[in-house]
Amino acid sequence: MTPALVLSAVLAAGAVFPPVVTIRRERVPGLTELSTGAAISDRHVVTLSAFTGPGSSPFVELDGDLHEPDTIHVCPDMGIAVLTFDSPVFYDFSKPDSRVPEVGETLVLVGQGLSGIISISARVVRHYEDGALLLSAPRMEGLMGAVAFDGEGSLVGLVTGVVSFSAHEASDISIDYLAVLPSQMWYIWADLAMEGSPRNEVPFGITATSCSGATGRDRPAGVLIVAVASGSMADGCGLRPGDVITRVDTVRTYHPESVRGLLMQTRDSLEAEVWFRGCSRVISLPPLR
Amino acid sequence: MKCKDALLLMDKVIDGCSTPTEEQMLHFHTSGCRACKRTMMMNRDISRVFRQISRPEPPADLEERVRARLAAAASIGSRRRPPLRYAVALPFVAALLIALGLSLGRGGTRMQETLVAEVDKAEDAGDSWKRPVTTPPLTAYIRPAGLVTF
Repeated sequence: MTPALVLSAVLAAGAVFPPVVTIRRERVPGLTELSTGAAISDRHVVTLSAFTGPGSSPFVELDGDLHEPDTIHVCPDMGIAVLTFDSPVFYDFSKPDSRVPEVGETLVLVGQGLSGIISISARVVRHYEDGALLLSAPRMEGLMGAVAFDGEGSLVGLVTGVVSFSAHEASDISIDYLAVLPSQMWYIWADLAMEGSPRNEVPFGITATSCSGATGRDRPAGVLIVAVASGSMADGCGLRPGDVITRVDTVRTYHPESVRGLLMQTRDSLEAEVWFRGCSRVISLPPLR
Repeated sequence: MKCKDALLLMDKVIDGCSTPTEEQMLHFHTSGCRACKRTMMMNRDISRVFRQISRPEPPADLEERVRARLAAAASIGSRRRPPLRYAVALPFVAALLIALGLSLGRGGTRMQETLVAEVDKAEDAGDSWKRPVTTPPLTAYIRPAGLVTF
């Protein structure tokens, strides 16, 4: 196969993922950066927050036209952003899938190369401690922020960086170990962002942060409660500083915004699995609106 | 014609295996599709470079140099007779010298010159999308954890 054929095969494979869009912005004066985004509704695009600022505005390129988003919601912790357009722009879009790909599963990464959309296959190597997935993929330009699709074509994550185990490995092999933030971790936050990031009217009463399993010797990854307001709803539920919320309803939780989003989307109380000093307990959390 | 079909047809056109009708159809598509036009230009560049570097000419004095080295090896051999197992390796050494002559001699320099010339030509052609456009590099995966109050 000629190099041109190889390239065309890659580009043709990319053409079957219509939700993937090109984000164009002037990174520094005179230098345009092309990056990847995924349309998750007819008015919303999810991408890495690094591609949206600071300084210059991002534009979404579609059919040769540039569209400037009306609002940009950023989640700094997860490093992702949702670009919102007031009127419908995208005919083809793909809602993020909450299914977490299995170890050994093959995914297709669709990214933005200099010459157009590129796509390659990657394999899930393991589940990272903080909820991210570790993938092995051939080394290729344009994979930062690439969109991960499973065999069914469902949007299952975004490439958020490279994981190098050592300089020796990184230089001698022609594969990259990529970290993918699975949709399961951010789709609830994205749902809220698509609604305009509404705040909960009734304060729940906690200050929390993400904690990965690696930071504490026995502590599991989840949402670590740092402070609980006295007399608040959270206090009434029995939450205490040091608790780690690992699951709400059936959703594995890694980020406080996921817990907030789930409690804002529900009409009924939800069961939560909470870890504290080696013991797990189940508590009931009330809806927030 | 869809982009997928155009990309497949592109190779046939570049390799000179297409019919005039196919070429016309592709031309019609690329005149209206900027992405395919860019791909077509890039594929042409790659194809042109590969065509030129796939047939490097051996240096004119290669044969003389190889013979001289073989003669030198033979004279050393006559002065200090090598063990039989080293003598067996001599044809392989000769082959290696020929290969080295091909890659390090004028052929290699030409390859380099061709590549540099092609890059310069592409840049001089004013293909603005090639120079001031970049894609974000893969950076180390770090996920900061901030405090959220709700």
